[in-house]
Amino acid sequence: MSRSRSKRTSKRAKTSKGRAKGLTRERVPTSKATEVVTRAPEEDQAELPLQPLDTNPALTVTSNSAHAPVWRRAPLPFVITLIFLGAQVWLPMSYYLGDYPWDERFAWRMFSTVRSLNCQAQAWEGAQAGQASVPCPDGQGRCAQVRLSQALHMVWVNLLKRGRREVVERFVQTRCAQGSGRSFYMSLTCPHPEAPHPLVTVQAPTHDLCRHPEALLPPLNLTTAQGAQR
Amino acid sequence: MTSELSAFERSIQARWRRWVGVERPLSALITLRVFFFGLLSYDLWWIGLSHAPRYGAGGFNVPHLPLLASLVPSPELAGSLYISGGLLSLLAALGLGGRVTVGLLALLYNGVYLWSQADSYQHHYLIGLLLALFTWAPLTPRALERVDLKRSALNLRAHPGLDALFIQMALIYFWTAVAKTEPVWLSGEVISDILRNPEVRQTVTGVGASLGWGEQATFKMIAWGVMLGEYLAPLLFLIRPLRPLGCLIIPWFHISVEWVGFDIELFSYYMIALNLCLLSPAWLWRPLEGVARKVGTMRGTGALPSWLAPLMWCSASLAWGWLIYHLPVAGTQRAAMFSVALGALCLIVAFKTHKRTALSFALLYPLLLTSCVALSAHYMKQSSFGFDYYRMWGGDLSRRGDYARAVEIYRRANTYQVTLPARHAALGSALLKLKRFDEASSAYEEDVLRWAKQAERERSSGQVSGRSIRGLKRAYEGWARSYELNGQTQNARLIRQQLQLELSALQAP
Repeated sequence: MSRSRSKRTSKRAKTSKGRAKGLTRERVPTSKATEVVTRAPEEDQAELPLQPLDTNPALTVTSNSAHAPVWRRAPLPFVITLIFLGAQVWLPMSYYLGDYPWDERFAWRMFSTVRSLNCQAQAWEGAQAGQASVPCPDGQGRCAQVRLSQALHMVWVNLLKRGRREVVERFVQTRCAQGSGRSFYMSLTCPHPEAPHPLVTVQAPTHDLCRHPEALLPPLNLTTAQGAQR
Repeated sequence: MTSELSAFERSIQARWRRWVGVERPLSALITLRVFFFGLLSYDLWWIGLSHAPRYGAGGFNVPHLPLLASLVPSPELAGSLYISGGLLSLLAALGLGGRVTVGLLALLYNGVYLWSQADSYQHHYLIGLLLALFTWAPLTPRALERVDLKRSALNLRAHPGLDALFIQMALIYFWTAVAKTEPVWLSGEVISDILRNPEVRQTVTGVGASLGWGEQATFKMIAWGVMLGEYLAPLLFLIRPLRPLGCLIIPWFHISVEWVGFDIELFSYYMIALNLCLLSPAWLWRPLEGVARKVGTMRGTGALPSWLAPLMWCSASLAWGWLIYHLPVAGTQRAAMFSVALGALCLIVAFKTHKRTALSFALLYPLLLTSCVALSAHYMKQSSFGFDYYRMWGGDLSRRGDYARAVEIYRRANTYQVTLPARHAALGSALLKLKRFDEASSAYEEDVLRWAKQAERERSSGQVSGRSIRGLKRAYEGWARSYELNGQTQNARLIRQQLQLELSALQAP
């Protein structure tokens, strides 16, 4: 045991000698790192006190340029990680700064109040001959109500109930593209996150969205909407 | 690179190391790797794969990234990506292929995630982020060998990728706490809503009562406790001396979620594994360090013949291909090809690297991986996985009026349920819509037989269930209707009479 300890000490002495010569940021070959990792387990039994690395070189084995700061050692991964973590700050913050509280995808809002609220989505399409129909929501012509579960997979219907604007947008685009000139109306109302949860109109069925795509998902002023509902 | 550190840089570095810098034992990192990727593999094969039919259903898809809007996925493609991801994840759990495997897995998982909002819960987002970070963090054998050794006693590893991982975890907990800083949560209303299980509710209110609180006050206290705990969690992750305390506190949030029975798939399990591996005191891992060095970094005896590794990996890749090709889901062809290609890559590594004579690489890992794939394939076939996969897909097609495809999918579903009542009635209904009366009549007849057998089995063991009676009635009614619509009203009448006889026989003592 003592013999192996002395061997180890001499190995470390070499490394610390290297450091003394200003070679600390030089890369040591992988084989040396391997040697370090594969030391016999019995050498590692005693836990050593935690000390700052620079003050106790005998305990420190550097397999690469450990003492250079990370922004010098690996600038690209460092910058990428900064951007990555910055995005993790920005994305949830944009939820709180934004005006659309129903899309909680990137905001880490597990068990939130919004999660328990269901939006109501409805759609109407210009009726074909012989089809059961009702007046279109804008009063112009006859329309048939679209059964959402027959038009979409249930996963998309559930996302409509959670107020996903992208799903509304894509659904309208798809139906207009398939409808060969038929009119299409969509309505989406969501309960306001704050009690008493008045309904807020996200998309009103006032326009044929195939003819007036600009009427799709107009900007939403949540404060005004809540006030108006009250 | 060679310039000296400034005093400012030194000071920042020293403080960072003392208060924030992460150092984890080798065994903790290897355990994290095995648990995380093992769990992900299960997640992708058993949960993700069962969701594959929703991808691109009816030609409709909404991606997270608008630039992917023109590309619509298909159930087959999504299925093959999930199967391939599961296999890659198994490889990553064992550290095979190093950062390339993890990077490829991150690309694949995030690709599927960004391609469709069909699976867009917090849990999918978390996995996507963690995979991106694991591509850099030292979890693979080669990366683990190259990171700095900080303290000789416990073989601790430090790496900026680990620091980033801790910051990410802290950010998650911070934002969950922010989400709960609102009056509705703090009133305890949401907690009261979540606690639906009567036993759990009784236990919770019982504990509250023993402290002198009423039901509402108990829920309110829990809500406040959760919020404050989640504000504390980021500090426990970031401040180095507080981490062992974090290991004692934070996992309880996730254990409680599982106890309450809230269905958030495997989210809690991922978080518990991460918390325990990242926050536990280093000394706890000491007994595992020796094993970790030998197995985890793929270090073997080096005594095996050099031809063994290529032979084993070649056999393994062929076995994966065959097993995956026969999985009871759609899209197995592509996945089988991918698995053979992965095996071939391992084969190339087997020829090229020094690891070819190591026991773990040449023998244990190919055997272990093949056993995992074989076991999964076996249980998928034995369980109702294939039946559920196809019956739900058929249900969606039927709802959306795609009866021709629904017939095809229901037929596949029925092949995985050979004795019990399956989806013959649904198949018959879809065939009736297509005016294929004879086929519909056969499907309903098969349904009648299955339900009759089921009812008979139940009768011999005591009482016939209402479900079986309803199933039998529905099957007979469908059968009669298929004859009626085909103009054979006499047969329809006879079938209805047969139903009455069957029901009275079942209800007889």
